[in-house]
Amino acid sequence: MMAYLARRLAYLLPILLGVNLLTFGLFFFVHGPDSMARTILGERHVDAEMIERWKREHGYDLPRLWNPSARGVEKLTRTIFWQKNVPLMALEFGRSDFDNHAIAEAIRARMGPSLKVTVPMFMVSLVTTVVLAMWIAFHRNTPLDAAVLVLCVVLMSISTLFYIIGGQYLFARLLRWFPFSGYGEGWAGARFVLMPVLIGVLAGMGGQIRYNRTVFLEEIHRDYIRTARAKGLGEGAVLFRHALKNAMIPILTSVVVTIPFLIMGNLLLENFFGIPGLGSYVVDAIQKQDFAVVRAMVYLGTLLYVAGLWLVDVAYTLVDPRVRLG
Amino acid sequence: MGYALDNAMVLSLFCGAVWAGRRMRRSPLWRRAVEAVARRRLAAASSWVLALYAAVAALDSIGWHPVLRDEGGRPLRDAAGRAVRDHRGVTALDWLLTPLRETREKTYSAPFARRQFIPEYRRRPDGALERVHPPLRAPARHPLGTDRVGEDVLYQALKGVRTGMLLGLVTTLIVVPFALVLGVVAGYLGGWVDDVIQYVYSVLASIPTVLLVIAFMVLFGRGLPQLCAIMGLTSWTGMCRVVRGETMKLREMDFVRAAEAMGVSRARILLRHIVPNVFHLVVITTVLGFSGRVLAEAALTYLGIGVGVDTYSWGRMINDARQELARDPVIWWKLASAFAFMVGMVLPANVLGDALRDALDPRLRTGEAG
Amino acid sequence: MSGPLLQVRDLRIEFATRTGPVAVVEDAAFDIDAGETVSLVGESGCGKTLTALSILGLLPVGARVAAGSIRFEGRDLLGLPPAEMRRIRGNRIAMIFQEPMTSLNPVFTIGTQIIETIRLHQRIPVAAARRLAAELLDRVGMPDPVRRLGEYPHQLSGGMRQRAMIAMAIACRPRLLLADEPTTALDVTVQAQVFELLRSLAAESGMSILLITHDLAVVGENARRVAVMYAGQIVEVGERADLFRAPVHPYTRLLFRAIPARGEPGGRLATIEGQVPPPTAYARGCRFVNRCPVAREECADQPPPVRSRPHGRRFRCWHPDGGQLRVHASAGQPPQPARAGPVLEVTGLQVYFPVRRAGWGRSAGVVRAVDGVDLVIAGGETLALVGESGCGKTTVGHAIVGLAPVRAGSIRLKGTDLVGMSRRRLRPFRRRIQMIFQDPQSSLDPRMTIGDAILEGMETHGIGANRSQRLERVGRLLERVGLRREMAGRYPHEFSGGQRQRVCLARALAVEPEVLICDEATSSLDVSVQAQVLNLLTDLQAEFGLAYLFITHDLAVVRHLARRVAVMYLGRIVEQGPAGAVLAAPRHPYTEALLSAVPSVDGDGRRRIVLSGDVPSPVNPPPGCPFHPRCPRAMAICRSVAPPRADFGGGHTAACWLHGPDSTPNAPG
Repeated sequence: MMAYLARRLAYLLPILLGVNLLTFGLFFFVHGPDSMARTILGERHVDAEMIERWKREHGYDLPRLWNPSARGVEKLTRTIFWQKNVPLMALEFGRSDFDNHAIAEAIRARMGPSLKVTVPMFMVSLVTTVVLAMWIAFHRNTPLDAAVLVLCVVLMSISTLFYIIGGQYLFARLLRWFPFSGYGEGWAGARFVLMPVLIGVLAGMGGQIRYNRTVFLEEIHRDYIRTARAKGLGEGAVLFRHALKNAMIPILTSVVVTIPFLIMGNLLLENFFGIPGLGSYVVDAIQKQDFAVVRAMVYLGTLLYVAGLWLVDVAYTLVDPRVRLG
Repeated sequence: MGYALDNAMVLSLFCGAVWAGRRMRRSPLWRRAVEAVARRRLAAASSWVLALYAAVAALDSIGWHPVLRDEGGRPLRDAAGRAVRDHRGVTALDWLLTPLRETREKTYSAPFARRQFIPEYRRRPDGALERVHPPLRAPARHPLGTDRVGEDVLYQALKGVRTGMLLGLVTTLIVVPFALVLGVVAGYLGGWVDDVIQYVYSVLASIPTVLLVIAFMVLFGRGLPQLCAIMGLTSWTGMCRVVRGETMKLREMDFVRAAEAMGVSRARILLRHIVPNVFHLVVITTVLGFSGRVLAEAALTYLGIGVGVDTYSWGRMINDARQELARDPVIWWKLASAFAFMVGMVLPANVLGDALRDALDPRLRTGEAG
Repeated sequence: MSGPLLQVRDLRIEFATRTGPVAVVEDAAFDIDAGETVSLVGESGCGKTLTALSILGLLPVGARVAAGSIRFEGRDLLGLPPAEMRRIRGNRIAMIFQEPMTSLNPVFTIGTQIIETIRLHQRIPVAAARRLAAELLDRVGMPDPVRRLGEYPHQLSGGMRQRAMIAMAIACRPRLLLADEPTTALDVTVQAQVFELLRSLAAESGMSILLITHDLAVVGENARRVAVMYAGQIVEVGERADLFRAPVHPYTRLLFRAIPARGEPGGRLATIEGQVPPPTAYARGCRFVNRCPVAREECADQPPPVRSRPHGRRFRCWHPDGGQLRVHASAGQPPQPARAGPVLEVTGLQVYFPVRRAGWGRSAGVVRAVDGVDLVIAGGETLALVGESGCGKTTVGHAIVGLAPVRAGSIRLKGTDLVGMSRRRLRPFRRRIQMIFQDPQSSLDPRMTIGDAILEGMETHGIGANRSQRLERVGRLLERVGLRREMAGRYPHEFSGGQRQRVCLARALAVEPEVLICDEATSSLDVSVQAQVLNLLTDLQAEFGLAYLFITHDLAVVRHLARRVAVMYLGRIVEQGPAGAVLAAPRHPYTEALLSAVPSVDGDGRRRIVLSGDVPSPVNPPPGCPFHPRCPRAMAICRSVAPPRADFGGGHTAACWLHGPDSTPNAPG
């Protein structure tokens, strides 16, 4: 089993390398450092000297991939690729292009607030969608089931923005249950987080319940359920003991993949509700055209997602005896 | 702004649709699928709604530059004697909606209102200030009201249809041949070809979509073509993976084995046996991905990396209208219109997608009643 | 308690369709006495499984019992409240199903599932239930029962899984066991084990069994009474020995004549014209009227009454014993004489597959699917290749048509070695060897008309000067295989399984092959349909001089069709020779066991050799003789050295140390 997991890890590393190369190509071959400088400094009042100065300050006054004027191994190392992109693999994110702050520190500081929103959202969503899906699977083929299905499709068809805007309007303005936005540290700050979590859960519920229900129904039609009934088990035991355990395998594994990514935070929620997490970090960087931050976040996001993929393999070996012992 | 590209696109789409319709009529699988969909009232209604949206989008894509005329109706001519054309251009939809388009108010007005929403202050003859709601230039003619700059909201919403359609549909149409070919080749040939293709799409798929879109748009700037491009780039991987999986299953089927044993060339097997048997998945993936892309546009425009400022889109409407909810009394019509139109396109797409999936591939059934 | 244990009367099961309810089982009636085994036999779609499911109230969604009664121990099960019914399921009446892999929950251990059954119906503590579960596993012949309790279904072989299911079923000592095709998915030797187990369980505890099957031979060896079903009705009931000796209903009589075991070797089998009608198209009168060779006018209009005869025989027919059945069987044809020389020679064939694991794929072991196989087929003759699952016979077929990679050995088609040829060079040879596959569902492209499917081969090899000539040929081929020309524009889903196999034959014949490899071509067909296809194969061979490599596990078909037979086990041929000689006097212990395991319709009380253990997997073949772990006569040398081939004259060879150079060849005692 360990060998299998190690092999899966080895399979994922070249992917990370590929991503690194891809982001490098994207960021530095589409826009050379010159136009980057121009964008940040503001299109108009720049001249060549200001551009060069900016490039020197931020370390972009080097050739991209290959430095012919250097000597020996420095032909490779005194390049933008080596200085800026390779360190990403070691999680050294460098400094911002906009105001030169240390990106890694900012990430560390902002991880907390993001997690404060995403972790509760994850757990509440998981429990509620599984329970609701099981309940509706129990009542399958009834008018209630049909109604819930229609409701789920409708909920899925609404943009997250509407949930946010509408939710904020409903809960903060009309009902006055929560504050509009803002953030506070510690437990006192919990009230700022409740509404984003609630809205986040609501926004994703439709699709997730439908998916879970599909998984349950697929299991219910399998042969071993017929055997369970032939043994004399009631519908409840059949669903909650036999079907559930099998259904949890695909459900859990589809959910586990998102766990590492929880750190990244939800961009829209954080921006709307003023949560100083990694999501709003990205949004700010977009608005400021801070390429270094965007680059770092893209890489970090990929790393976390890939970690999630590996976590899925781990989950499978733990949860599915066919993988563990087959 | 040339409309040549748009016009050509609409024409070719139309021809393509006719040709596809003919092919499908001959195939029993598609005939049965259409019948199955038609039987379910909800799905049939959804396809009509989507057809309506498509018609609006098509009308908005046929355009020309009208000749500028003077008061007497005679065409203006330039120094060389050629007729001067309006560089802004007008589409068939614009032409149909001319009354809505050309009557601009000063500022906000509620749906079907006769008077402006925002009061103005005027001096009465006796010198005192009074608050009045001035009458509108086109009273009761704005079914969905007007926005801050007085533009008709219904007009904006209808113009947004094309943006949504382009994003949802055209994107995939460009991407389909690419994903289909690569997926089929990877699944059938296996070996190093499969490994390479898998590597490529794994790398792309590992970058979280939202971040990749952000990176792309930050680099290439806002705009509908860029958005279509990046959406296509990200949706390609999903379809390729699905096609590859199905191809690998098909490869083990006896009829493919029989063709191999017969000595049929690999290209012919791919073309005549594999592709027709995976095409239904392409259709399903397209329709189901449609809604995701349209919904994403709203979020992306809000974040500032969606369409450009001079493109009409529902996302822009939401963005503009965000502040309006905070007012007192609240201004709701622009937001509500965008919401209604968006749901009106995405919901039928989801319903139709489900129905198609049930009809074409019962193995993927979601368990919809019936 | 007097009276039968189970009494079914006037049972009517309906399916709800868009156009109203459709009766799929009608007027079913039979009894099961305490301690007896009754068999419900019929072909696919006749309603036998639904009948069994209705006894336990397990009908699928959309089906319901519309009329009738099912009395068990005097009580009508159909009127019972759900809670009462649950007390009976698994407790007084138990059921085992066809596919043991999918019928067991994959994420629970065997022990958990058995204990669950026990504790559901009996109030005993967990520890005691665990002990009982181990005893049950031991009783059903599971090796190492305590260890098995903690194992998962996927860790057991097919035979062991079915034993686990049986253990679960008998856990509460039911009075009635419903067995729905319990061995159809298992190999012949395992099947013999399972039936022996069921017989001993029934004898020991007085349990009754309702055995559902399509295999008359299985019925012959296990049941005391038989009910024959056709198109949703029971058409004949009676005591087994009596019914088998003298069937009355035309369908039953034809069914017996259609079994290869009862046919003349090399001759043609009796067939039943036409197909089973779908439930929506049942005739007003007798449902068999369209296919019955002795039907008369009244049969179409009036449903035949149920008549009785002595020994509990009942049947539903207007004209029982209706004269000589017009059967298309000719008086036995002599076996095909071999034409000039061999047409296909396989020497030392080896096909190994790497065991791939997830990731960037490195091989972690090898599957020795084919490990040194020699075969010769002469023009116009049939060589049968028999063996159980995993023996590699399908792989041999695939290798010959170029679908499997050959590691070593040669495949000579009239002298030309095809191994190692490039794709392009191989192409013209491919038309000369064609293959017919097992599963009629997947052997035709669902998106292509059958006409196009037949055309494809012709187009690839340039047969026929132009399109219209080819289309003409398509029409002729369709007629030759017993279909109509106009069907060329139809799609595969519009045809039945038997018809699809005919289309596959037409497709193969279109390119004028010399060798036809039939890979279990009739195994998934019903008996009557199989007979039609086998007859067609026989005719085509006589007409075109085709050589057949007939891959099958069904020894009855071998006896009927093949001139020579080769027996495979774990990638090697253990015995080969003329069919008559090998089947009458097998030299290899495996062939012996195989032959004795096959159930015989005539139930001849021959000595049965039941092998221990299961069919092994070819990933880790044992050293020496591959059969030694299960061989009842293994010797020390068998465990270490592979046996040489011993020749018995007339082309009959066997690879076994019993006939080795230092022991006198003796027939197995």
